[in-house]
Amino acid sequence: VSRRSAALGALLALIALGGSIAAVGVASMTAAKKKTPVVLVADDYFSPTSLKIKKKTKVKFKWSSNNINTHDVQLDKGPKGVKKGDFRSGSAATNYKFTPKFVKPGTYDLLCSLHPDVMQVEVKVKR
Amino acid sequence: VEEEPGLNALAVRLALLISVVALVAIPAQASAAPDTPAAAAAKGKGKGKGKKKPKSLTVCKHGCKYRSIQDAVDKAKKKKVKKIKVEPGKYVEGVLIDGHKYDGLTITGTHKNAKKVILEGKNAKGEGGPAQNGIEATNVDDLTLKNMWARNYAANGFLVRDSDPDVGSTIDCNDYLMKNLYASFNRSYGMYAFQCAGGRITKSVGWGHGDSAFYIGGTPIQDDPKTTSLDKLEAFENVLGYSGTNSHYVDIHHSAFYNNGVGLVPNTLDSEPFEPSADGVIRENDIFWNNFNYFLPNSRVKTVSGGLGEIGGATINYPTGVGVALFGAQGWVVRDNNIFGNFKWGSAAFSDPFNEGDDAVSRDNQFLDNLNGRGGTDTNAVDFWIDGSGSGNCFSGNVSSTFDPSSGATNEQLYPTCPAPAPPASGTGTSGGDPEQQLGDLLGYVTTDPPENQECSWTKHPHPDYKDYEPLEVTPGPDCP
Repeated sequence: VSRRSAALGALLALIALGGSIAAVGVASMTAAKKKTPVVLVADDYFSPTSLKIKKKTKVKFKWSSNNINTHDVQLDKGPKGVKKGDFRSGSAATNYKFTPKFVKPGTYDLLCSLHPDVMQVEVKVKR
Repeated sequence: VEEEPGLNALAVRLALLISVVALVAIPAQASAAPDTPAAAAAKGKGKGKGKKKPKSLTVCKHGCKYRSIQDAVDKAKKKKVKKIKVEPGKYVEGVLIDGHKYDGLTITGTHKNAKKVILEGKNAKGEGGPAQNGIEATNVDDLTLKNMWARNYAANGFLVRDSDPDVGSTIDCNDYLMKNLYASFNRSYGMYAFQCAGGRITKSVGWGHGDSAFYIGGTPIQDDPKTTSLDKLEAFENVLGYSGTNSHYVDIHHSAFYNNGVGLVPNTLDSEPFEPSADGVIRENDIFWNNFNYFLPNSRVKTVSGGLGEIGGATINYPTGVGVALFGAQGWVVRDNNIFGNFKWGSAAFSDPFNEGDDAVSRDNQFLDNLNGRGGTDTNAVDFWIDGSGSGNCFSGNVSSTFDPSSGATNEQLYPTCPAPAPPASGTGTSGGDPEQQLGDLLGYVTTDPPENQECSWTKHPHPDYKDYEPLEVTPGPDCP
């Protein structure tokens, strides 16, 4: 049993490492190519999972063309006075974009309401 | 490319009869529709006092006030109308219904033949890109959708959902009815309910989906649970016939799941709320020929390109050739089904040792009184396969059953009669199972490279005729070593 647990642990570590590398790769690639920050919406993760922007900046959420699952983007928590309805996309799988504008400084916690435990992204908006 | 499913002779005769009736009925109905110009003129309606609220709005391609379903939906909110009738035609749009102002709304095709009222996803545009769903209803109670066909959407055919991700919040999607709907070749799901309570999908058909024809997602835990009924359904040529991640209180019965990769998969995943999937019933269904090898190049259906994940550099894919798979499920009853001609496993149950929080332990599932292998004429490779994990899983009263053995555990330990003895007499009690079953059979199968070679381990045979169904075989098959 202990040998199997160790093997499973090693496999989990490999999976976690693979996921981290993929996330870093996508983040740096999108940052280099786009002025508007891009967040990839994929099965079942956002990439990157956190970003910092200046106020009055738009962020483009772009759905992966490889998706089979359906995802959305919603505001879970945001600065006081920000309407959740201004940060709510449709439910989509592929070839879809959602580009909300972040006007008010503060921290915005967004998620996919269909996969809320595994798809979260934090957007920090500076003054 | 869309193709219709085969129809048997009786169905054709019925359709013809219904068409004749409809031809007689529709002109009368159209002339009586309160929102058409002709009807308004005939009744002398005009602006001002005395104008009555219409009982329904009618949508049609020519001669109606509303030429798109969305236009009628938007107007229904303003006029507080609770019924929208959609006449035969092809509607290239994605319909959005949002909020409790639509509670109690019915959208129905006027023709009993659902294929006459088409919601077409190809070339349909929506905000942010192509239209994603034929109809998406968010936070609507008592919604009824009837007599329509949604096809070729970027995401789903018909989607009803609660939008609030807070698991403790009020349930804003109650008691929907989807009746006599067709869904085909939508990318994700045909008919999809998420975070809803109650509801029914009945007399509906789904085929050609990259995930499942019918999907019940995370279901809120309820003190006095409402059952979600799925009945009189047909699912074929899908990656999965039925899938339900973290679903609860689902009763799937009197339906046919055939020619899918897997017939039915209640499952527990970290990705959705309300783990684990629990307290469902699969009863009195035909579950057969689920040997759809969609990994082959000539398959009309494609699934997730990169697989479900990776283990040690090996890609994990869905299994194929399986009738029923209980994946990390608890308290499910699989009874009185007719399960045959599945080339890997008739029924299977296994845990997910990688689940965070260890919520996906296979527990207290019962396989009772199932009829396997059509009396030996159309057998499953083996009728039952279990990974030896969890506890309380048991098997009683099943006819003509074969059990997949392990050299590490006895059949009495793996496949006890009900009620099952406590671990270690049966099951490990944890998500870790019998090594040969879990790490050998299961992991070896789902990491087969290339995945189309899963078929190489099937036990195949010709299927005797069954009703008017045709087995689906993708050719050419894999190049087996």
